[in-house]
Amino acid sequence: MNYTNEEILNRIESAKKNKAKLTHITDKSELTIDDRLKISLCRHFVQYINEKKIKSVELSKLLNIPPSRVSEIVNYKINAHSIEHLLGYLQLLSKHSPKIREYLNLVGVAVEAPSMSASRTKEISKSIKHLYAEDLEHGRAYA
Amino acid sequence: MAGKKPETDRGRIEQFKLSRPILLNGNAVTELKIEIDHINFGINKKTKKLNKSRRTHFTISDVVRFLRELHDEDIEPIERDGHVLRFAVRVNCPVAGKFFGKEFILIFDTNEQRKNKERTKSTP
Repeated sequence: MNYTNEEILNRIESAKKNKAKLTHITDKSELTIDDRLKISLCRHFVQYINEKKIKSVELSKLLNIPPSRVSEIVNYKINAHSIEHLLGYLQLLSKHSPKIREYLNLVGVAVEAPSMSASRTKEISKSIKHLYAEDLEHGRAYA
Repeated sequence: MAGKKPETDRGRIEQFKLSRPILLNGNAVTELKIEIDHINFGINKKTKKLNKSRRTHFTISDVVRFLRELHDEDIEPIERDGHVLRFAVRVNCPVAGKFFGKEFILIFDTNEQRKNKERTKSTP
């Protein structure tokens, strides 16, 4: 990775020029549940792109949606999309990814869960978080 | 006549091992290569050399704090070149007393072949 100063300057200029499109890493602790859900949904598109080593343009062709929309999604421009939209796009993606299909099934199961006692719900949440952590410890959760 | 040698001198480059890895795109980053002079001085667009006067006073641990903001994130690289993934993201400065909250553009690479390596620079 021995870049010349000129190459580095070009990268900086390009990043500054496309600043608005870049992913903005923000503090998520104060986000609403809606925004957190949107970010989680967007994350699946990014993971798919990274796993398949494709570009967002290729993903837009795969899903038959405009590249600008995909760019917004993979750069977490969550204000531009509703949860309904993101779920719709994710359903399109699920046709190409069994993992996403299963994820949507899991969401379906969670949504259909009956109202339980607070302690039981807490227990289930804790178990799910524990499973996520275990997955991450084993390296690539999305591999 | 020999062509002019490309300019690559960007001052001090520090290698740093992280005690706690940064999880980026599901991969653990444990080692960093930081162009600290480049970050603090910047490169002059005309001369393509490091500026003589400082623009920031970030330390290695300050840069690590910037990178910690990326922990557990999934980001699309702006470019792929074989095993090298090139990223550019906007991060608000997490360092108290040094441009705290100001937005910076963090430009860095990861090398999938040389796992656990990351090279970085940030630009305000």
